Amino acid sequence: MKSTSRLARVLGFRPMTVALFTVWLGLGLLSPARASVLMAMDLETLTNSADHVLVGTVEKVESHYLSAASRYIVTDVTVRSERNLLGVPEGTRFVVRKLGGAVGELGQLVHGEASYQVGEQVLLFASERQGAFYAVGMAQGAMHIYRDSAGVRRVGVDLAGAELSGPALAAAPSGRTLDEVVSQVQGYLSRRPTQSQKRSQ
Amino acid sequence: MRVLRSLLCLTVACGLWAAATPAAAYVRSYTTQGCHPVFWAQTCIYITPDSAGVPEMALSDVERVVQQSINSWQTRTRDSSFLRMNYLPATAPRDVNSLDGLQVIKFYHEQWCRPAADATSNPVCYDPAAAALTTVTYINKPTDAATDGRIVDADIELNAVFNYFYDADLNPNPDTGLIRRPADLWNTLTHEIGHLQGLEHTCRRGSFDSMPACTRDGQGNQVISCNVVESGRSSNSDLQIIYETTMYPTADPKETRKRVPHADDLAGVINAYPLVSDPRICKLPEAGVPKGGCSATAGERATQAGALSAAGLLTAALALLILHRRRRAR
Repeated sequence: MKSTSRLARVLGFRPMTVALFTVWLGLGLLSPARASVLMAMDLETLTNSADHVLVGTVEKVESHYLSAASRYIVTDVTVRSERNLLGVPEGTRFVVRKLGGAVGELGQLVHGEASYQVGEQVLLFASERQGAFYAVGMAQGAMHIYRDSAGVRRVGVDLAGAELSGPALAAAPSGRTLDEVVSQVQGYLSRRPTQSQKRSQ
Repeated sequence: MRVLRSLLCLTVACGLWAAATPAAAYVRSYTTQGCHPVFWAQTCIYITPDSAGVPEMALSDVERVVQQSINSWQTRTRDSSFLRMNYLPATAPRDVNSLDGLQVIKFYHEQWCRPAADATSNPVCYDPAAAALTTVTYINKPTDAATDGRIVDADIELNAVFNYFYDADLNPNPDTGLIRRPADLWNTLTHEIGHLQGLEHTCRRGSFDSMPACTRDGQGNQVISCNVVESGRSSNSDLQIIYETTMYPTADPKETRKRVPHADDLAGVINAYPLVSDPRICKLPEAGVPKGGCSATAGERATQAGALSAAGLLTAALALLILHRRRRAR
């Protein structure tokens, strides 16, 4: 645990994030599963790597330069929480940042980053880096919610991690209901150690 | 007999047609607001690695692999495409800069973070899941189709904190340690240089993919789902072709098959930058000029020489025409 903390300090991430990432990376190396330039993360890994998890509606998408001296663009996305799964009370607003965007006559494209549209609903897994929250695993942590023809809310992603596991899983029907996915996330969250348990470790 | 001959002709004709059908599974990157494809409006772009390189590889090997990655594209597109990627040796420490017009390849091996721009700002730390990031900076003029998406800079940043970059030709089985994932540098860079030229991935990873909804493939169709490709490729050769492209969005550890772009990848570059549309602009950006050195590189001189010879030919032809008319008038 001490070495994880030291590594976390060096990397600029939280110790828990580094520990989870190390375990996940180790599992990935042991399995024959394919990885991505953006290494694919399954729902459990996304949940366990997140500081905040919520279902909400995108209210505002605003791009700006990172600082007065920088010409790198970031986009701050304001999401109103409608279902708090971890750390974002319902009705409050949560700001998640993504790399890239457009400011005036300059645009920046960062391949693999999440996309957000004002008015859409998202299931968001976010973690903090350097004072801002980002979607975990870039595009993978910002899942888009849509309604099917029967009006049921679904998540437009194969959350079983089909991208990792080859043809058999990839062929599985996509578009699980939001309720199903949320209950799975809640299951993973309930198994996470609490703050006091973490302190005693 | 006649029917048989007709059938044979039809089969041959179909075969020839299929062979002549241009590959078109490629996908170009689009701007988010105007939804136009991004593009370079210049003949030459310049690519250089940071001289700090990466600890696990000798700088000379990094330089060689960067050139191999550039040449993987260049040797296959140069007869049909005007875009010229010129390599600049790693003679100086480089940081990425979104406006300097120089394409920098930068490794991060201590922290997967872009350093702070100045004392008042923070570094930007990236997601550990990203093995490499290509940032393409373009002109954003959504209502001006001729200008919107014109690339001004593209930099490649490599995550050597969580990835062990190596050359599979020199060392096929590297000892990467516990944390890092093995990644053949040539394989990784050929893919990233595809992004740098304005290419997008050849399939969409579910609806959460970051490509704008208006993105279309080379045939004008919606971009295919990666799940469809992966589940159908064993029985459908078209899907297998997509799966094998360099711009396919996944890579196995130690993979090397993306080192060389495939027909679909090449078609993306050739269609975006056809020879007939060569803008004949080849200017070495200020950031790439060696300190106290000459600013023109071989590539630039070649293009300048080409432009001069074309101008010279035009002048000579004009002079001959005038001379001819004068003689006829006499």
